[in-house]
Amino acid sequence: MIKVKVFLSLRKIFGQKEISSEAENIEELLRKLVKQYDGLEDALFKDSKQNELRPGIIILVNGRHIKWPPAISTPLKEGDEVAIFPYICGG
Amino acid sequence: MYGLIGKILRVNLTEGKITEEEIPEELVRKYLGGRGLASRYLFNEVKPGVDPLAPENKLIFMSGLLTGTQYPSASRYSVVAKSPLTGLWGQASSGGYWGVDLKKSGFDGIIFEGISQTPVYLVIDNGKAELRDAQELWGKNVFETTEILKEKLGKKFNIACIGQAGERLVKYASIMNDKHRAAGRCGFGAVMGSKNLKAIGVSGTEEIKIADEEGFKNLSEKLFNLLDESILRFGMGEFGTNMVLDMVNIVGGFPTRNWQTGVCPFVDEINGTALKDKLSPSPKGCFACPVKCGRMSEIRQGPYAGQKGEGPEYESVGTFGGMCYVDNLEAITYAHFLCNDYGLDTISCGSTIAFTMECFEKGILTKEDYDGFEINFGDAEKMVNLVHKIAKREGIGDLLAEGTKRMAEKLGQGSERFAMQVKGLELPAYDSRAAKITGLAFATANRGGCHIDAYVQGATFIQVPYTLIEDSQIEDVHKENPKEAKVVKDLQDVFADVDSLGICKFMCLALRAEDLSESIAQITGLQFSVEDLRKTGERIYNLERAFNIREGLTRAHDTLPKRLLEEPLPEGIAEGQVNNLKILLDPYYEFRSWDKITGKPTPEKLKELGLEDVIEQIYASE
Repeated sequence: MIKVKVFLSLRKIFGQKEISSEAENIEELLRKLVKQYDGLEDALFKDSKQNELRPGIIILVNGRHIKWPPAISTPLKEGDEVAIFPYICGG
Repeated sequence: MYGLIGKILRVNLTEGKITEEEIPEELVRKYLGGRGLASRYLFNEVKPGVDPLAPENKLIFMSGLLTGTQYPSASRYSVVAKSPLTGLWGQASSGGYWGVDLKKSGFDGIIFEGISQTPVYLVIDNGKAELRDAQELWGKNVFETTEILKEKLGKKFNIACIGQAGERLVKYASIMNDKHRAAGRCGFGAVMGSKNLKAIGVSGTEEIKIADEEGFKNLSEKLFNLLDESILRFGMGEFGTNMVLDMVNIVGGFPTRNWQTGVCPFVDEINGTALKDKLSPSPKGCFACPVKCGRMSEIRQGPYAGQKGEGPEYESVGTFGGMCYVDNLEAITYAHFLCNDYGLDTISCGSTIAFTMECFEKGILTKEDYDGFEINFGDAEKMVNLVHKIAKREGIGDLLAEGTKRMAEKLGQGSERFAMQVKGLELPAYDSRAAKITGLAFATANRGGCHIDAYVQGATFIQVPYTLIEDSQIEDVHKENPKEAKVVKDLQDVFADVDSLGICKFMCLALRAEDLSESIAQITGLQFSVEDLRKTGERIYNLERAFNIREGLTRAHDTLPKRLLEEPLPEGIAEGQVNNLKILLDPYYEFRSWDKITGKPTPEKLKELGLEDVIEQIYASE
């Protein structure tokens, strides 16, 4: 299982802080989640083709950023922890 | 003059004498305004070795070149002086509306010198300035002082002032404006207090002349719209600066228990989402800002219910929350409000309390030092109590009012290892062991342990590429890559420009270098390229460094607390990491053309930057 943690405005869409899912890579994970959660496609992707993420979307796998713009083909394995932020700045 | 009004006020507090001076055009070309221009005056006028709280230190307020125009976020002013906390060049910047109103009053800046015999405040009303008796204000805090002066002078006046902390010379006292906005770092509230200067009220209708009005208007509107539709506005507007907390914690760099670890177990109690849910803040923006990251909050439950104010910002949550290990957002918020009212820097204050907690944990401080009490990590009530004691210098508060560096020097017993400061300035809430070049930025920052000198965490912790510099890409945040020392150098330079223009660094996550250089050309009518921008930032940065060199700073001061250099992070994704500065310092000095042994800018570099007069000042004794 993959643990998926979501933050800030994404928590409204998910209705919770974290869920579990299964996927071979980030792209598969995101496509699966988009089907499960209303409003997620619009929050994550530029359009319905789902080829390009919105600017500002930040994804980390096990606490490490996947490179900007996020490489959605990044592979996942059992026990990985994925964090998805809708945007981050500040501090 | 275009951009700036072209005039400063010089206020000799010893003699009670006020004079006006014109700003030479050449200085604007070389230093822009704000931080750069003020630093040039400071370098010229404050001789080495001066006690920061003596009459010889100067306290300089300066609005930026763009401040008060429609350029997005052009609200800011800088305060520059020799810092009582570091004994070096210091600068603090603040937004809101005061910097704009200073410029409208008919002056770009004010230089305070000397010390008044009795408490006074300065009033500037449309080009006319006078000092007035402030004895009835002395002893009052920021909110009350602001309200009294607005009642007395009229609502159109905007007030910058100090609270009790500045009066009592707390080394990290801030200057507050617009009631809740802080020129927080470096302890300039204490410099103001040492001069018996309580407040500055400004008002006026002076207009800013713009050389290319049409071009400047078009550029400003274009950038405003860009930022208005950007992720900056959506993110900051909804959650404020505290939105970054979760990210910093996930990468294992959220300083917890005075930096004993970088992972905090209760972030959901204090993060941006918690702040929104518990305090129901409403957005509050600075002048000309499309983003509006500020927020008015009200504590709704617990012993501090009903207290209102602006914030808390991420850094306040980081220091009072993570560093002090307090999971009570209401107590964190109240400590932050108290800092604003007393006029205290929340970073230094929270960090000093966290250091004190660890001193108790290790038995270096005991009940006898604190009226029969002890304070442990997580003790929200005593944390709030210590804020009061620091501001009033009561009991143990007198020791804490000196900051962590002086406390460690006094307490000894190895406490300097975990006094989390650089050059005397307490570090902000980003653990550089989790993102290595952040440590280089902390170690080399001219004002000491500062996160916005290079604002490098945008490139490291958040990993958003800056378009302000040529390349800000970091390959692996856990590795010290010598080539990436240039990212720190380039960001330090360009943010010296940003502070001199009077705009907000947050906007710079979306702006390009061209957006700055074009605005300078349009407002001043001067030819001003991106190359000129880079050189100007570098000139300002080297001038500040030269001030510090003249005060005795060497390469040995460009370092970090031993905890960061020698104690590996114990958990999280950055487990096992320490800062290895040696790998980064040499290449950084090479990129800067600074001597690798002495840390001095080379004469060739100073000449290239048009700082020939500085050469003899920092090489005089050789």
